[in-house]
Amino acid sequence: MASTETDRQGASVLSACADRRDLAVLARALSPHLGADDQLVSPTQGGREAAMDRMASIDPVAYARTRNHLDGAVTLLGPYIRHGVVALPDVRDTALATVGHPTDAEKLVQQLAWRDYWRRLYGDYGMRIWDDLEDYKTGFGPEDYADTLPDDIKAGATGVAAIDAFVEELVTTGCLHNHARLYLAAYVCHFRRVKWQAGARFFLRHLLDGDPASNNLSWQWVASTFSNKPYYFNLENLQRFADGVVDTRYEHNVVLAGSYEDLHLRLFPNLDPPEPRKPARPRRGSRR
Amino acid sequence: MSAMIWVHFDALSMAHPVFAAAPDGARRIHVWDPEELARRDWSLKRCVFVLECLQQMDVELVPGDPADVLDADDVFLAASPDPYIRGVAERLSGHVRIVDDEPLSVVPDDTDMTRFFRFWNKTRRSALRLDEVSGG
Repeated sequence: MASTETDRQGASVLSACADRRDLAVLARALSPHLGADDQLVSPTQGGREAAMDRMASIDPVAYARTRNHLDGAVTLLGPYIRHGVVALPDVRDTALATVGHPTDAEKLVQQLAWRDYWRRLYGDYGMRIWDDLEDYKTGFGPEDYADTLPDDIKAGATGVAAIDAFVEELVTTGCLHNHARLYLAAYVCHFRRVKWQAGARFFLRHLLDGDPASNNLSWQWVASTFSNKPYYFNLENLQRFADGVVDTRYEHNVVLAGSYEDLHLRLFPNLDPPEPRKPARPRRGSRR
Repeated sequence: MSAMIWVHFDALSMAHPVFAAAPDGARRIHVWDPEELARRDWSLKRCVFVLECLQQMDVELVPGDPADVLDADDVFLAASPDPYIRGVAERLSGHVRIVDDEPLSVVPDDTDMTRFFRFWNKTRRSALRLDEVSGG
């Protein structure tokens, strides 16, 4: 049992921290697992005040229109929601208060519902969310995937410019747009054929909003162990949503290039050829 | 009778109803569990983010194993699906009071949880508060 004196010391130590540098020192003192090479503090600040600032900027209509673009009007509330600094109904009510009709905020509320859904499943599955919930639908079995994340991915040194940029952002800021997470997860699982668990652990180490519920189940959705088919993407899709944010030039992302039919044959050679996809919609004029 | 509120890392807000549920004078404690953080392998930036959240709350920060630190007749905590939090709650010697927050939506008992959009189709109206808008 901790003594009252120890408790007082703990409280006073926290309140005595004048700035983020002090908090980093305190974190190190409290957490022996932190390595000497782990020196980065996120530009995203914790606390209710920062959360309420972001709540004031919610724009559900712009969110619905642009959320899939890496420079879209996303809320950036993930870390605060993950740690319960703000509650899902509060975010929902704030969003509804800014629109004429609730359906104008539907896309944003639906995203809140995804988190609610993952957390409810987490309550049912517990630690089993680290297991494959279903078989892979990739034509491969778990034994075909590497157990550990390759060093070049962890270092952001794959030579695939967009992928390396996503890793850099993840590691330095602890934040990453949801679409970038899907791209990175698909690259790990399908382009590099690494077990989703290895990628999930990497994300949980760095993401400020890392939560085994949303994180692992989203990785399983990409991997196809909690979905009907694997999620993957091509360079054309990346260019549509990430242009101007990361380097999407062909010559720097060659491995991602190809039609979906070509990529399907390359990534999932044991599966039957796919049905041809509809052509992608034209890019938004405002982004050209 | 002694009472404590376990302010765990899934509910870092003084607005959570767990604070209203506990008696006046209940100690509010965040337990910094180095073994659990090592198991989770949280980076420095994650640790600092949580400490910043705690700094804006009226809570004590106590390092150790929550099952040892939370030594009170009644321990109040926010509901969480996290197996670690649930596991600690099972190990506590005192009476455990788990306090739910307001849910985002009403989930009917017959909801198929195997895919998100089956869940969404059942919960959409309450999540969007559509029945309240239409007066239904």
